[in-house]
Amino acid sequence: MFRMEECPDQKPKIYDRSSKIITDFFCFEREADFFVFSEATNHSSTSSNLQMSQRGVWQLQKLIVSYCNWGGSSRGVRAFMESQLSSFKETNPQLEVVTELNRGQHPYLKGLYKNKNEQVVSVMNMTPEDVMLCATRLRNSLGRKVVKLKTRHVTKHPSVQGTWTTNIQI
Amino acid sequence: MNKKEVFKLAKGFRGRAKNCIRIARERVEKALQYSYRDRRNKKRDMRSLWIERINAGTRVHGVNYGNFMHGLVKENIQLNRKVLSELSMHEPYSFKALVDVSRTAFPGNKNMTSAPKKEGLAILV
Repeated sequence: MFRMEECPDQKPKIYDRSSKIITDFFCFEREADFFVFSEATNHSSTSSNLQMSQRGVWQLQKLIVSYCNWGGSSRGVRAFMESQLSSFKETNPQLEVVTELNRGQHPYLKGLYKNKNEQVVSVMNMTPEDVMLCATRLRNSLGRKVVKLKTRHVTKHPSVQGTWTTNIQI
Repeated sequence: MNKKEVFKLAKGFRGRAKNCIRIARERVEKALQYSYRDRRNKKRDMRSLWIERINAGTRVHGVNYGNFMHGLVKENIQLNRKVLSELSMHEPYSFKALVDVSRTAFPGNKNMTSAPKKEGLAILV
């Protein structure tokens, strides 16, 4: 069970019995993460962490495009850099995009996130469109590790009234 | 390449079953059969776990599971066992309210003896 954001005009009605309407039956807490809400609804039990910003703040701070100017595996990245990188930069002014020459190595995109996590994606032998797709995915995601969720409900505050212990007297 | 896939699935197995292909193949087959069966069993197990928890939660208030659920049905409360178990764990006051509602609808339990009260040093145990 996940906690929903409290909608002040739509208190959840558990059951409706002629004169008695019991609201506040569940004490819904204001759940912090929009991410958590959409994660629960998107059923991302597989390791797809494709979410947008967190509370209106983009999580990707820096994108490093590492390529080689000689190697054939970098052909796609080089084409991407010539054609689509500038438009990508313009559409994402908050993002710091850096190109790095790494001779003799396969190309990759490295994303540095606000939670100090870095996500490296190899773009070896990819077409420029695919590279664009990769870059967009990195920009969209939060910096979370790509890990399958253990439970469907991800919450820091599982209880509003206090979890039951043997000591409580009701 | 089937061998590679078999070994990938055989990670964490005991003894030779993770290293030797003939044994690993058998164990992996069995593991897949078990996982097929258990995907169906998991649903049953979870439901029985929820029922256990609800039972424990209601008996604290002197009502047993059967009468509690009957009372809820009478009142047309359509909460499922999953949610009820979560409530009984994490929202004790709401759960008590539910138990009271059920008891007014169906006062089944006349004499529910709770666990004997612990006195003195026994409280620590």
